[in-house]
Amino acid sequence: MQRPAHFKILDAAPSLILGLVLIALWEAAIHLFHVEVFVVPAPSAIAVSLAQNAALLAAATLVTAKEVLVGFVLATLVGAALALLIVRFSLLGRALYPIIVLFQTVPKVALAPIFILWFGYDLSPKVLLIVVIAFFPVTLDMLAGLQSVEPGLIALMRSVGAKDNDILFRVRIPNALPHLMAGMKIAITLSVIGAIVGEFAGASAGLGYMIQFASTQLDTPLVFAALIVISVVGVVFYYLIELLERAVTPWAAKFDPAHQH
Amino acid sequence: MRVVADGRATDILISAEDLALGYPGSASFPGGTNVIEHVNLKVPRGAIVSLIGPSGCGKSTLLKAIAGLVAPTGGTMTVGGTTPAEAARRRQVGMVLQDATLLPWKSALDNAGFLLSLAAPELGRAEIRARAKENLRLVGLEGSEAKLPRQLSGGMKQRVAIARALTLSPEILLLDEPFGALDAITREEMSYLLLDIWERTQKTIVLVTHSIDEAVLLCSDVHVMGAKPARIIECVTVPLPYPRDQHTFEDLRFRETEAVLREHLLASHGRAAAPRRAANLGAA
Repeated sequence: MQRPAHFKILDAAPSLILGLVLIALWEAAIHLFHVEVFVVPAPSAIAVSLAQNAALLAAATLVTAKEVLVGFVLATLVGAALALLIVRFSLLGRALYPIIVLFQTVPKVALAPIFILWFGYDLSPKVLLIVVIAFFPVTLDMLAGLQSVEPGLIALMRSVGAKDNDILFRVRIPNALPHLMAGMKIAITLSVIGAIVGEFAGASAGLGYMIQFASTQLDTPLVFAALIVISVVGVVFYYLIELLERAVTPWAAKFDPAHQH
Repeated sequence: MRVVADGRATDILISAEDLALGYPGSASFPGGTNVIEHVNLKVPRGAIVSLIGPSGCGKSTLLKAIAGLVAPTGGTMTVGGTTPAEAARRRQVGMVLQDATLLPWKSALDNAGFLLSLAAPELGRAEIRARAKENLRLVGLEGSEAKLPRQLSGGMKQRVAIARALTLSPEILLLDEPFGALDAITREEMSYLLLDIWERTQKTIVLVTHSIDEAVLLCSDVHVMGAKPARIIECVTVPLPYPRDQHTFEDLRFRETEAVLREHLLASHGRAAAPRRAANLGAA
């Protein structure tokens, strides 16, 4: 859909160079203007903090990554199941869809304290928060995929006696897989956000908890270090989904340079 | 009554009498509306005929009715002595649309066998694949069985769609502007392919097109349709012998038939819009 077939070193060079230049400017500005380390730390100070707190950060990463993974998998299952229900049972779909859209307008972040109140400080409130934040794009994309089947093909299938279930399982669901993958890519980034917000609201471990704790100690370099680790976690998860996408839908047009449209 | 040009078997396979097609009435729209009315059509077994006409003349709707996809709102239609829907269930009708509508995750072979696998799963995977392979060979795609649709050109995709219809082993092949999305040369190639398939399989073929050339090159009978109101204006018999090929274009009778069809089509347009002077048409 959006990325070229071959990711070349040369393609990455411009952004790599720009990134290095920006980091160098940041480092220079901190020293030039004598900015206090608890206000904005220099990249070098963040690197030192990363190294010094490596074990602590690793432990926190495990906690947060587990929340993200469990929440994301559940969000994907819930999101896909809702789309299937809406398509397969049209009356239920007509009843459900407006409610889902309405629910989507609720600021989900505001639910975090309630979930903490209900489920305590451990895994479950974070997972629940991730599910409510991340299921929606999965539902929307899956729905689009289930419904974007050529009507002509459906007419041909019906003319030879195909049933609704034939059309669902043999055409609609496989057709929806590339869309599902696109929805999952959005959901994974939302899942990371959900985990951090959940930890902010109440936690005793994890990268979000670490950020809060470090900022109360004015340990700004550690805040930035944890931020970097969170970003890396997000990127790694995102590319894992891309790998999954290549494995599940190798037939999709995305990786074919000869594709014509 | 019409006579089939080359004197093939003349029993009538598809017949419509005073047929009306449209949308049945509903609570909000009582009485419904008819897209076409008073259609009389006879297609002899083994003939290759076309429905030609301007956009909105209901030619695709009429084809869908033969395929059993649109139920008549009036009159009668029989396909092989039964209703179109029943004929479709008995796999007597194979249809090809303007878009190939292949499944992108299935190979050419599995796409060709897809409709048969839905219609007759009891045949088993091996038998369905064998039939699909045979029909891919018939449309000239031997060796491309494993290719995915995205690896095929537009013309090749449409060949797979034809193979998919043929794999049902239908008596009747219906084609709805099958080559409309292809470039001119590919179009012509596909016309020869269709002639070849017709010669070899003796199928009854009904083709919807708006290309006069295509209709004359391929068909024994051309049913000219008009819009506003949608109807069949005329059935023109093409006085050209089979087999036909690229030299058919050079035949004087080809040009003459083409001119007659153009005259009918222009006249139908003329009646819908401004009146057309007879003197302008006389030159044809």
